[in-house]
Amino acid sequence: MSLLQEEREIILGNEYVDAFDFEEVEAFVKNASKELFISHHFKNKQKMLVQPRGGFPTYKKQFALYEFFVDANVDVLPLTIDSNTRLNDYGTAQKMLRLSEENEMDMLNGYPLINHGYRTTRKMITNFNKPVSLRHGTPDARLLIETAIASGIFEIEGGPITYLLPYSKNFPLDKAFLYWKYVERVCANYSQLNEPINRESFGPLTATLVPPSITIVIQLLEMLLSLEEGVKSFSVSFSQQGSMLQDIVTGAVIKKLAKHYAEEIGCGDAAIHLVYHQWMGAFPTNKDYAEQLINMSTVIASMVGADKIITKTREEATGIPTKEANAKTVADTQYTLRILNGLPNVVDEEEEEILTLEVKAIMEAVFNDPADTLWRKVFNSIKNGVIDVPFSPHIINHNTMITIRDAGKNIRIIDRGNVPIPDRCFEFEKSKCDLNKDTTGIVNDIIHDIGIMQ
Amino acid sequence: MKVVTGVVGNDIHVVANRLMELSLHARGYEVFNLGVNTHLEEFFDAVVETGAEILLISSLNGEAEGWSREVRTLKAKYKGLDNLVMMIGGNLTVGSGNAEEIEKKYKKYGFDLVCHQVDLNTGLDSLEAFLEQKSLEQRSAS
Repeated sequence: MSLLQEEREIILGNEYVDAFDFEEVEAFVKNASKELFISHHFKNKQKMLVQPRGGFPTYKKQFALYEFFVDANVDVLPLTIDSNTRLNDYGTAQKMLRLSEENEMDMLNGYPLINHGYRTTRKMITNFNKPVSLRHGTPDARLLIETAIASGIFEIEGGPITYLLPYSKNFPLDKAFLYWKYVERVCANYSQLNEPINRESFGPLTATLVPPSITIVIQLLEMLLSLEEGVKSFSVSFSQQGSMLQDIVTGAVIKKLAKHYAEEIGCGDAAIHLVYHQWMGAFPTNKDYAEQLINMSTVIASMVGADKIITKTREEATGIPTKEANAKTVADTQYTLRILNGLPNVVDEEEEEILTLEVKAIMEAVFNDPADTLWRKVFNSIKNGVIDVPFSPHIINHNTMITIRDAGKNIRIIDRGNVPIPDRCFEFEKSKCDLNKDTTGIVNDIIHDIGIMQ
Repeated sequence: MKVVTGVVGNDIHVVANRLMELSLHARGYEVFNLGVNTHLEEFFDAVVETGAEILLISSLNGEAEGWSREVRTLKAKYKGLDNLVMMIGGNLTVGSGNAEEIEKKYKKYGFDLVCHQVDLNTGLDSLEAFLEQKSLEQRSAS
């Protein structure tokens, strides 16, 4: 028996798992409907795929949410996991699920997949026969993704960096890399049976003034960590940044460089997709304004040429959205995409060149780290600040890079920290900003820059 | 002057915490930022370890309410913290509440300065005014 299989048996021997049947699950994936695979839809797509967010504790409510989404002409269904499950606390999730079922009141902020189990969840997924995307935020997602794939969920979001640095203060980053290696291998193995399982990275990170160079570097590294384990279908992603031009430039550079680096490691045969998140920062409380913002995001996603868009709702500022508000966003976004025709081709060669140089310089610094494997190189690079994510709560993150918005609302780096931004690029970034301010002025600008959409 | 700061409890709201670090630093303080998700003991341990004169606790999700009740008993367990300036700021209640009453309540919990939904620079100005007043009093007492 392989080491991986031994580890899988330990993971699936968890007391909250009801007899995991490896052979039956393998046969299920092998014979599963192509419609369940988002990789199949990407291959044959005519339009940008629309995916909302959403997860409720009970089977009944999740089923009702999916009915609403299907009525609204959804392309990809979400399954958002509750926060206890994300922290592997299945006992609390179990208790809260029971309370939610008994009291008609939601005691969890998502679907506790482990407690429902794959046999039950699979009934729901195969019933709708649409691709489902797993949304979670789990550093140790080994049991979760085993259960997800066994349920018929063939897209797995996340990664060791993007699911840790924005969410956790002190979960060990090196452990996260190893747990995600398991995820990549399991996804790669199942990918040989039918259409490939799609892996998606979480580009928004902290969604707070993260410069595009950092976003792209982390997307590329998580892509490489996934492809080197044998994953054949991968989505890089980023969220609306606040300037249409910067989004278009980011989209162009990430597409070009994803292909470049995939080929560099001999994985040019993998399919790479681009996902765009509607605005992930602070939302306006005015629900009509929120809808305008969502609509604008859809227009920019089209300009960027995204393969999939992930939507927000008019209730974003108020709490967990109702299924009605959620379905409305799907219908509205589909409408905008349908009427949005004859888009111009916008290219800014100078901005593209600068961003490409920045990304390549950081990537090179990561590759030049003396560690023996890619994940260790990446780990060291985060530890020593070569990669620095603004506003990450994690203790390993350097927090020395400072970014603000220029007059065009582009995110610019005014303090590089330890990130190897080439001098020429740094001068370019600074030349776009007013640097004659003291720290109080800059802090006020940052507060303003974070809240630009409110 | 040395300041220990951080966000109390299981609160993970990091943005204001980073901006406070920047602002305190710009005002000339030596900052020891414990970041988000910090428990009361960790704050007092850090004060002892660094010899800080000021402890500035913040809260966004309102958890501070629950934690602050234990401040006096906990602080009493540490020796030599009588001169520590205690400040708290952010959203100091879950839901909404009357600012005046909130301030009174937190002063009872043992804080010298309470900034409920006060903007960052106003809050830090009030800290400076407080420190100045305190040093005047000490001078006239001696």
